[in-house]
Amino acid sequence: MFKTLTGVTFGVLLATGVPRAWRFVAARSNTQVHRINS
Amino acid sequence: MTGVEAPENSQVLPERPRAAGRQDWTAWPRYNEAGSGYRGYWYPVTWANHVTGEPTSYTICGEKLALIRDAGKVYALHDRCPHRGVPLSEGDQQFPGTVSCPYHGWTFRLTDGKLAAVITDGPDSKICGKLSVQTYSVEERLGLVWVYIPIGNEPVPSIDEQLPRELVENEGVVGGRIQPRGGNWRFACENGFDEGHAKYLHRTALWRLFKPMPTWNITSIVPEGRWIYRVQDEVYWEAEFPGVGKWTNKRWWKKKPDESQISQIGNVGAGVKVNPVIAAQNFPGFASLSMPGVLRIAYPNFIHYEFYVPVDEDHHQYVGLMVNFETGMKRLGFYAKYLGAVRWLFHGQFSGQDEWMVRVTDAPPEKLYRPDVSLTTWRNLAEEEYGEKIAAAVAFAPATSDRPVRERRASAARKTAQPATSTESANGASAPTAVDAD
Repeated sequence: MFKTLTGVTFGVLLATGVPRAWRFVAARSNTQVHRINS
Repeated sequence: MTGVEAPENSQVLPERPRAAGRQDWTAWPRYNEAGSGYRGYWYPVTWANHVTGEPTSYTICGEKLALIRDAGKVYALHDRCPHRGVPLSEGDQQFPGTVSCPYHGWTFRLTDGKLAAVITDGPDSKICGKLSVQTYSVEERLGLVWVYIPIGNEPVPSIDEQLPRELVENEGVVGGRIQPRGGNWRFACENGFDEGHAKYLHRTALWRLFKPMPTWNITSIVPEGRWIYRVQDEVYWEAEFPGVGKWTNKRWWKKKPDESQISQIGNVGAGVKVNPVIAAQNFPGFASLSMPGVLRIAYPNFIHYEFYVPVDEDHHQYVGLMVNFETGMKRLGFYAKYLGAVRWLFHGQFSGQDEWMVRVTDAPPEKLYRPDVSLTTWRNLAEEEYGEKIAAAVAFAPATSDRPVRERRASAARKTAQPATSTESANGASAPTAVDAD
């Protein structure tokens, strides 16, 4: 039970934290990637 | 005795050397006056997905713009309510297709800038339809919003005529960075195309950690169409400097391209496979520059562009784009490379060294040297192309509008500050063709 809760908590933190951190970094550097003429 | 005699023990100071070199840029009169940029061009302002229904303020060529998206389309208006001068970018949308000033609710149509309603003056306001704010042509390309800054009321040229041709005709992916920077946009242009600095200033850049750069080159500048190209005729990887010693950028961990096969694509050995789209361009040299300040550096697998967007006399906006002409799954590799490394190393630390130099450059006066033929050729190009543009633009009458007097006065003052709208500048002195090195 403890392992499951820990795993789920860790997974949720990872799933929400990584994209937020990524967006934060992208916003700070004001960088983007795009497809062009497609 | 009259006058004052120098004391006996005073020393005669050596005569100060006469200030040598170029004291000003009047040899390029339009360029000299273009501190806030050249009007009559399209400029990249911001990422397309940064423009929303909330108006946002930007300054390009000293012109304050409010950008707003409505029904999927981006509009640009002069960012000043004619009533009391409050920025429209501080306001919001109260009706579809309009933007309202936050102060008294003066509401302007996005399509033509006409005053459509004055919320605090009732539905029958007599002032409606009688005045307007200036609107600007807007396009979206390469994931960016581009705005045309007009000279007067000349016809707006297609943005595709100004964009590098390969970016119009080919599919691909782009990774880019936009950064407000200190320093005049002309310093940024000159730095970008400067033949001499890369080998020395950027020798410590992590982007070049495993790639040595020459100590010095013999370079010629080749014009072709709207562009000028830097062509490396001779490359010297090390040199013995009389009286001071040997100097080289070579290190044991840096892989030097085969000297006999130096390519004009990206300073690499000719054996490197070049992307067919890039190879098909047949660029005479790997670095090129065009108006109104677009640097293009061709590498075997991508092309790097820098757009130096004038903001005002002391600021510009850096728009760095790395374009890869791959399609399909190969795009994913580019995304990973750009987001994981390039944006930090190339558009970050490497480009940050340029930002540093542009910010602290203080010229004229200046004393140019042999490699600065790249600078003087650029100035000549700018002078010539803008001269032609102005000549074409004067055929059209100055912009007329029903803007209030104060607005027109402000506009007139701005135009006075812009280059070559007068006969005097339009007929300016011919530009020199050589550097003023001794």
